[in-house]
Amino acid sequence: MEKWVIVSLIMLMGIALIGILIFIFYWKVYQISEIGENCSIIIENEGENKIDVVFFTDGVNKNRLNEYINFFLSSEPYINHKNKFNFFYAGAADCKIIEDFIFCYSKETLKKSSSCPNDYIIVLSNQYSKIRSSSYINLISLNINNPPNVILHEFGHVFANLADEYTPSTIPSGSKNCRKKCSDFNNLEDCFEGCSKSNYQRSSENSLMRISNSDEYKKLNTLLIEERLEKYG
Amino acid sequence: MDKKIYFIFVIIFLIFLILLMTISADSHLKKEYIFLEISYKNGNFSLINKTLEKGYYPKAIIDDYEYKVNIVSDRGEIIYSTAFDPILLFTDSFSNEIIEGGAIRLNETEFYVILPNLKTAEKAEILKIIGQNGESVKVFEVEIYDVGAESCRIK
Repeated sequence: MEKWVIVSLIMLMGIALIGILIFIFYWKVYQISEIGENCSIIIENEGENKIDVVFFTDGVNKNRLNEYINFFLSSEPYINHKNKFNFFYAGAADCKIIEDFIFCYSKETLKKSSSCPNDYIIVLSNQYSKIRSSSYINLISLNINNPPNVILHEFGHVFANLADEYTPSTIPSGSKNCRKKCSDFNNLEDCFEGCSKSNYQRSSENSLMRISNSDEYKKLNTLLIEERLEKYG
Repeated sequence: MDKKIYFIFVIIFLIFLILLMTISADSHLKKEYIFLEISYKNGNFSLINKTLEKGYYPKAIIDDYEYKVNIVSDRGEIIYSTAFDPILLFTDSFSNEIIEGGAIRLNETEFYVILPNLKTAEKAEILKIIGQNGESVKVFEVEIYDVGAESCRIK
């Protein structure tokens, strides 16, 4: 075989090898650059079809995020589904006070959240303790001076469409934790009067959808949340 | 002869790099979504603005909410569907043992619908669920990419 053919073959192999290495390098870069430049990963689990939660802060130190995430992931039923959640941080957001509640839902915040995978958005805001937290569509506006279990209550609204179990409130369409009759609960738990409406029934006396000093959703609400969690990988 | 071979290999290598960069740029462009700004007042929905943006959009929700958003293809098929309730706002006060506040049904609001940028998408529609068995009525419809004049599209 002529010398130039051998040299050519070696060079060809060399180029192919370099090409493969470059491909692997870029592939890894793509994997990393999937996240926008304004997005930082707090917890990311391997695999697809996760529940992606994006945090923002409003007058709150970023270090407080871990406190909320740890509390959330150590609460039932999320503690058994930790690997289904990814948490990201997308920077600062501006919230406004409307009457006596905080409202952080805005075009700017939603657009900023798109730099991260975003199914649910939580804005931690530093307000007087009297200011209520709120939820609207998939965004939770959380006053950090409310008790930490507010995050569980509000997530129950946005994630599992849970209605308030105190009265008076409004039952969201399709919500399943407030029922007209006790028999609608299929003897799952007890039955107590008053669930958003005074003539609707709830299945537990004091779940965290009703009282401020509980960290438990109780049986039916836990089942409803787990039904939703099952849809994620 | 050797110089020619070197030259050819360099050219091949450069073509390979350019192809790789093109694939990279394309993969970034794929992360796009349609951002619809919608106004709601006393049961009526109207479009304020629509833009094509880069980034992630939330995964579709298939559960029971009061409203459903569909993307309809140019063939009239539903190619994407998600659910939400833009009329309901929850506020909760944890000052006392029993939580207070409650959900409020809004008479007037501005909200945003974030939808994937799908190749065959033609229009987006909002349906209000009115029956226990999922019966619905269309309350809003928008051509996704048209921005007015026939020649103007956002993609």
